[in-house]
Amino acid sequence: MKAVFVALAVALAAYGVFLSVASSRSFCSRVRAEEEAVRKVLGVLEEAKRTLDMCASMDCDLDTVETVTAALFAAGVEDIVVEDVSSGINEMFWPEKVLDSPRIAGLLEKDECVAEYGWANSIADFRGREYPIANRIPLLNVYEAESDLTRALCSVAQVKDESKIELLLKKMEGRERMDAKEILKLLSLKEASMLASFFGTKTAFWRVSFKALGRYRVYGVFAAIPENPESAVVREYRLVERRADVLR
Amino acid sequence: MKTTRFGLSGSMKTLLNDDGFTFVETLLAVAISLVVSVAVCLAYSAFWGNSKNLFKGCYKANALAKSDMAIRRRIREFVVPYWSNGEMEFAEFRDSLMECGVEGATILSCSLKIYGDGWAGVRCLYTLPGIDETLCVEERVGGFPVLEERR
Repeated sequence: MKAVFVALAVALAAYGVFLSVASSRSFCSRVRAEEEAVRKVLGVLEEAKRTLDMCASMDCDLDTVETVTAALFAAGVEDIVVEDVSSGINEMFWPEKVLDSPRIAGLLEKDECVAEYGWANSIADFRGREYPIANRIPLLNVYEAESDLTRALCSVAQVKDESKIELLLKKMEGRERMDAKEILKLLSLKEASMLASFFGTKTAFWRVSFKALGRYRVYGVFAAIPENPESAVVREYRLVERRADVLR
Repeated sequence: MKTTRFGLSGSMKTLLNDDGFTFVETLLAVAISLVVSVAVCLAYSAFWGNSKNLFKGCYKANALAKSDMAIRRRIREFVVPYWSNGEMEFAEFRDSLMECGVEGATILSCSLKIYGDGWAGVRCLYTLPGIDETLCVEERVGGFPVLEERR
C-alpha cells in the first residue's frame, strides 16, 4: 500500500504540473482570443461609418437612425443605439452671448439639454478655431434637440410669435420633412444672422453603440465633416472615438 | 492456499485492517508509477525538456499576456478629444505611462503613430522583471483629434 500512496503522490504532483501548464496556456490563448474579438467588434464601426457616409448628402437626418440601425443589425450585432450627441448646449463652442442668456443659463444650471460634442460655428462664434473644428454646420439638429432648448433659442433669437414656435415643434414632433432654410423661413430668421446658425436638420455628432458577441458593448462617435470651411454640406462622417467594454 | 504478504507497519495494519499488500497490488503500484513516469516525461519533453524551462516559460507567458493586455487596454482607453492638440495630450499620456508603468511592466519608450486610414496609435517598448527581452506592443487609441487625421 505504501507504494500505492507514493505513486498517487507522484501522480498528484504530475497532475499539478499539467494543470499549471494547461492553465497558463489556456490563459494566454484566452487573452489572444479576447484581443482578436475586441478588434473584430470594433471593426463593425466601419459599417456604421459607411452607412452614415451614405446619409451624409441628404438634406436632413430624419431617417438616419433607422438606416444605421438596419445596417448594423444586418452586420449581426444587437441592442443597437444610434443617438445624436451634439444637439444640445455645448459650453465649449457656443457663443458666450447665447450661453449667458437667462433661458439658456437656466437650462445649464439644471444640467439639462447639455451636449458632450459639437462644432464651433464660424458664423456664431468660432473662438479662434480652424476648419474642421469651426465650420458652417448648424449647431443643432432641431429634430433631435429637446423642445425646451428649441424654445429657449427661439426666445434668444427674439422670435416673438409663439404660434410659429409651436408650429415648428409640432412639425418636428410629427417628423415632417423640412430643411434648414424652411425652418429659418418659418421662424422669420435671416440666413446670415448668428442665431440662424443654430437651427439645422443635420446632426454634427452621432454616437453609435451596440452589443456584439454577447459580451461586448461597443461605442463609436462619428463627426460630420463639411465639404469646406464655408459649406454646411456634410462630406463624410469621421470616427473620432471608439471603445469596447466587456460586459460582466 | 496461503497468500504471501509483504511487510507493513503495525499502525498501518490497524488503520487499513490489512496485513500488507498482495502481488496484484504490487503490480498495480508499479503500473501507476510507470504511467506517472511516462506522463511526467511527456510533459517535460512537450514543454521545453526541463522543469526549469517549463516554469520559466509559464511565468513568461503569463506575465507577457497580462502586461500586453493591460498596456493595450490603457492605450485603447486613451482618448484624445477631437478638438484638442494631439501631441500635447499624447505627451501627458506618455509621461504618466513611463512614470507609473503598467501591470509591473517598465515602459522604456512610447511613440505616437498615425496609420494609413488616419487613426492614431501608440507603440510602446517595455520590459518585465525576470525577462531579459525588450517587448513591444502597438495598439490604436480610443479617440484622436480630427485635425490630425490627414497627416
